[in-house]
Amino acid sequence: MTSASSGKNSDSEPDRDQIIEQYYRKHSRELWALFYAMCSDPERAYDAVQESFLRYYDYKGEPVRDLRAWLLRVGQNWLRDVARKKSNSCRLLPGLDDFAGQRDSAEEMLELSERQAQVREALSVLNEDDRKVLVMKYSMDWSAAQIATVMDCSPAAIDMRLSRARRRLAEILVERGFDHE
Amino acid sequence: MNDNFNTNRASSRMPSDDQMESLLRDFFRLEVPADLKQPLRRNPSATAAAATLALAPDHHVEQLRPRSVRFVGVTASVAAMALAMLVLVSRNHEPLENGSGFAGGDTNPPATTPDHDNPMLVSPQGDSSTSTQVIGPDGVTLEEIDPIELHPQN
Repeated sequence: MTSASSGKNSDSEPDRDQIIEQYYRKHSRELWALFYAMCSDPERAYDAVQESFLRYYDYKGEPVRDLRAWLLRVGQNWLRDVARKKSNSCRLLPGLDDFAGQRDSAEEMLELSERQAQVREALSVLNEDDRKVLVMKYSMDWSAAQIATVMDCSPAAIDMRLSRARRRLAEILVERGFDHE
Repeated sequence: MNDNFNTNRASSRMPSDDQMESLLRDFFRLEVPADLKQPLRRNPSATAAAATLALAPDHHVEQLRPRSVRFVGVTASVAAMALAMLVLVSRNHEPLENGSGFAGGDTNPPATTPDHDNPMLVSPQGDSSTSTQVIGPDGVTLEEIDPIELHPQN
């Protein structure tokens, strides 16, 4: 994976900033997907992405060999801390603001919001590996081969896991009275 | 029979693979924060601090005057305090010097009482020179002739 070193003098700061910006543009969505698989909360996963990058900005320690692994670890630790504090705040669904202009009525918005919440809850019931493959497949649009490199298994195993995770999710949704029509 | 009916109903309600694909794609299209497409936002606290500084520049300037101005102000107030102390001290000392309660006022001193200048000191042995002095028109003196006898009261 991409590596980046931490600059120690002021001359290298702009270069380092550019590297971080580029890395953010390229990998923030993947990090978000992985964090989302951990917490099932889109906003919190986004905050974890921000937090891990901001901490890397301030980081003055040893050069980081694997930036992705470093960011993942920082974000994961941050998510654990937040989960311990149990700071559940009322948040609007991200993405719905963009969608609002295209919808006619408040009822449609409400219905959409409820559907999102139902799927999110069902996803949170799945085990983390099942959730991870679904998130990578459908939020990143990754192939089985790409997911396999992250999950450290074969693409065939990923296909099987994907199929099983979809079925399990469908069962949970049906159990909870989800109307897919 | 009843179980089979429920199972059939559940399986008929079960979404197909295609429906699940579509559902999951729609779900994640809305779930991914739009902010992820934006550039990385820097430290929000630093931005807030900058905004605060930008909002109150006049107040800031007013508080941080140049050092020379502050020095002159402090010196002036110290000098004023020293002058006030000097005036107070000189007012307290003036009556002792000229016997007047009013500094620089009436130059004629008021009649001084002997008590003020010579405080009355009474000796237990008495003052022989003054006790025999006649203090009244009928020749009464302060000299004590008879001893005073004290008896406890019942």
